[in-house]
Amino acid sequence: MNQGAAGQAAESVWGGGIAPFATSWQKLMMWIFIVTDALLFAGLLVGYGVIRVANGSWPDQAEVFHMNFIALMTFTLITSSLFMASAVGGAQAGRKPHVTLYVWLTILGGLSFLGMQAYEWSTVIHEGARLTSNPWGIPQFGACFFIITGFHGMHVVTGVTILLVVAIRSALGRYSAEGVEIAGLYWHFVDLVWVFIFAFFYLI
Amino acid sequence: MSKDSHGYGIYWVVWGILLVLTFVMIVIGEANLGYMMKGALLLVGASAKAGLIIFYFMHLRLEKAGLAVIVLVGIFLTGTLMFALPAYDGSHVFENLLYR
Repeated sequence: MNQGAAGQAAESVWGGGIAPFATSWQKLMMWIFIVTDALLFAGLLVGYGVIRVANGSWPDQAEVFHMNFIALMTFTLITSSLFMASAVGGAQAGRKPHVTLYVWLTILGGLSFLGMQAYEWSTVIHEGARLTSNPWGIPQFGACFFIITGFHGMHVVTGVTILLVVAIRSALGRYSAEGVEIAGLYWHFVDLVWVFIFAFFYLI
Repeated sequence: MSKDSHGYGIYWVVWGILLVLTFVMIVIGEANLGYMMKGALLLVGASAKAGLIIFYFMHLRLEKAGLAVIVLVGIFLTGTLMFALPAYDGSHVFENLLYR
């Protein structure tokens, strides 16, 4: 069967002869996943925005949350992102002890964030907030809070799990620079989402 | 990934800028401004932080331009549209509440 020049080109593309954007498929798929996952959070924030505008009024966040505590959570996540970037840099330079140290520091940052979020949730639940009702007036406030921060928290849990796999593989000497970088892409994305949640759920 | 991403100094600089932006945004959040003004300023601040994270921590500046286009158009254009369409409707709901 005569495939012609076009057929050969297609075969070489799908056979792995050409890497799109000169990246590996793993990294490309992580980027595409990040785009779709960002739109998931955009959808949640749009839903929250419509609910909030349609309600006309909204509880004062400073009455519900301890803003210094939320700022500390933000600081923790940004700093863990710094550690992650440093781990990726170390992996590319082939410095294994550096990678191990900074991946563990990133995990520590993620676990601290989760601990603070668990504390925040239990405080708010203890004060009577539920998915359908809360003591601050607007019933949908609780739903928005639990669903948006809950989705983000689950992403942090996933990120910590991925980083634990990287740390264990690193301890066994089986990590690759690209594997660390892809785990880092996911971790920075979780930080990125928090930037928008912090700005539009907590600050305004 | 090119080889010029091995310096760690830039990460500390970006981290510092992110913290400063966070502090400025907290001040804006507590300032006595209108909702529209606050929203606009916070959107600028959040976008600046997002850009720093995407381009420096996630190294998008070192990738091919095509990948950057996919990510930026995918996230920001689609995200903006997702907000713009219901926001128009939502503002009518808001006005109806005001003049009821």
